[in-house]
Amino acid sequence: MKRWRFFLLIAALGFFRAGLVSGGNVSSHVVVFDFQEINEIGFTGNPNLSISSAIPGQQPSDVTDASSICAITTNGTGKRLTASIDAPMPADTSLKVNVEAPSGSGASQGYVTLTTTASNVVTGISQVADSACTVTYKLSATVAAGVRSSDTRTVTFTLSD
Amino acid sequence: MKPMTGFFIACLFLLPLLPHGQAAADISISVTGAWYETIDKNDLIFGAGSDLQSTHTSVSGQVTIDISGATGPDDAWRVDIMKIDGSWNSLLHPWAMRTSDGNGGSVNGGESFQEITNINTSFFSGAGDVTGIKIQLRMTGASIQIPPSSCSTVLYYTVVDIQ
Repeated sequence: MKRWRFFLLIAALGFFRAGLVSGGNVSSHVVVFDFQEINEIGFTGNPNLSISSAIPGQQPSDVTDASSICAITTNGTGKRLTASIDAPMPADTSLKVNVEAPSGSGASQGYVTLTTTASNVVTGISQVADSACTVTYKLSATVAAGVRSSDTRTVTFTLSD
Repeated sequence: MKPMTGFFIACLFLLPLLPHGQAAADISISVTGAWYETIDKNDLIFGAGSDLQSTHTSVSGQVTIDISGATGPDDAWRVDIMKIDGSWNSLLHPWAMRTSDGNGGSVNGGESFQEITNINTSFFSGAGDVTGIKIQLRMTGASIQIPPSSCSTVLYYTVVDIQ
């Protein structure tokens, strides 16, 4: 039995020598590709919303603008897109946003009311590149808002875990 | 066990210890260099909304190879190439191409990119001692489908004496 163990040891050494690490007839180098986390978003469009009509007997009609586009690239998983505005909306008005989910990844939260606190607009975004997600804004008001001069809000979108 | 049977089995086990051809033991190969590449947002084709550039190519002389120990200028040899993966991603495909003849001896073949697989494959051939053979490397298959990670593989170059 001991003799067999000796033979097996010799054989193992022999095969090791015959492998890639043998002598000077093999040389090697390493190749390393370091993939960093990529979370890029971009928005185009300059939406303009103006409420100017109403059906008699009802509140002013909502207006929408679907001229904006969201582009998104991430190699991460389970990401979410949030949105917020830089200042509260005037009383009796609301601004909502609906961001289409990237193709094949994530779930749109539909129309989400924008406030100064970030809210989820698309969740579950994973390893996707889409340059044409439609962004739709909706402005609503009641008669109590009265007549107001033009105002602006800056919408901030963030892609995060 | 009969004595002759034991002797025969012992010879069988000892065979791998024997030199692999007289001249092959003399020729040696030395590789200098490595390839480290960082892939980040700057590698997106058109920024947000686009995928990563699929193909990444190293500089011409990313790696240099020296062949020494040939018995003379007519002592022919062949260099084979293969990879053994570490934390690799199967979407990635490495390629190699010879971009210079180096100095001394002679070198043939390997002047177009060939994919490196996990099986040893002929890369280029030559004769005599040669130094400074330049190798360019290429990687295809980069994509956002590859999660943030460090992907590594080791390329092995084997010189084979072909007389």
